[in-house]
Amino acid sequence: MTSGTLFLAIAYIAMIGIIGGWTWKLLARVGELSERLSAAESTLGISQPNVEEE
Amino acid sequence: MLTVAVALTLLGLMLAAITLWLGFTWAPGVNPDDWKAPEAYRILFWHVPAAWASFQAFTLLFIGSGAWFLKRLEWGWKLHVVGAQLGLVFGLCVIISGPIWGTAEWGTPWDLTDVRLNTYAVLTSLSLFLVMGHQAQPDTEDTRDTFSSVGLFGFILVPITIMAIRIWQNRHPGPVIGGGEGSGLDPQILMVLLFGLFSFQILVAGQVMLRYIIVGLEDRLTEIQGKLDTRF
Repeated sequence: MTSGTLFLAIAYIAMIGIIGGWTWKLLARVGELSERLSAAESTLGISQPNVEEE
Repeated sequence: MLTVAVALTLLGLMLAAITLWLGFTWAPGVNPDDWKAPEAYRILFWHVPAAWASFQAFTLLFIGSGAWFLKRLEWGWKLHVVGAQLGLVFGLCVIISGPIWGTAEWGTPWDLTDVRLNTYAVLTSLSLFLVMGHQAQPDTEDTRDTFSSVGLFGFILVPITIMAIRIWQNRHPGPVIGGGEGSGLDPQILMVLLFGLFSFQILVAGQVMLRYIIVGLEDRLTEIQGKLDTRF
């Protein structure tokens, strides 16, 4: 491991974790907010908005 | 817009994964006599693109802060929030991977006398302060002004950090692109690095759009919840 392979692996695992975790969080948040908006808007009787138009 | 944002994000991730694969399988090794941990050099295929992605995020933070502070533009505040969060994400990638490489190559994770390392750490800390501040403080004009002024003045660290390895190079390696005589990379290594920079451009574009959509959805939800509160 004197060539640095272990350090290389640890660094990439950390970066994959940060970027992957962040992306996952973003996608989950979009889904959650869309659901909550739909529920709130249907309660108010507002026509269903299209997230695509955001 | 959501479909485009998700598509760009996933494409960016896929291209970043290809960069990693090319970096491990196609890019040649470096001369083991010149480096203490020759294989660890492959960290640069994500470390450098992540650093540039963070500089772009800090630029968005600066533009957004200015737009809010000077013109009270709502999109400016949204851009400020997005820039701070993405600056933190990519800044953490750099600030974590760098010292791991440093431990392998230098035998120490940090050098307090190196300007590049220290200014970048302050820059990432600044984005951490902003992200935590946004969550902890009420969303008022006063707090927005305070955070925007931090975003405006903190941006001065970006050019200082970029130029630090040209002016006060100490421990951190010098610039590999446009660094003058004696700098430069093997063409194959350079090609993978450029592909990595392109991949992270796509990823940043997708994530900025996604985060911007989320801020818009949060605002709309708050507005609708207000209407619900008055009705019931």
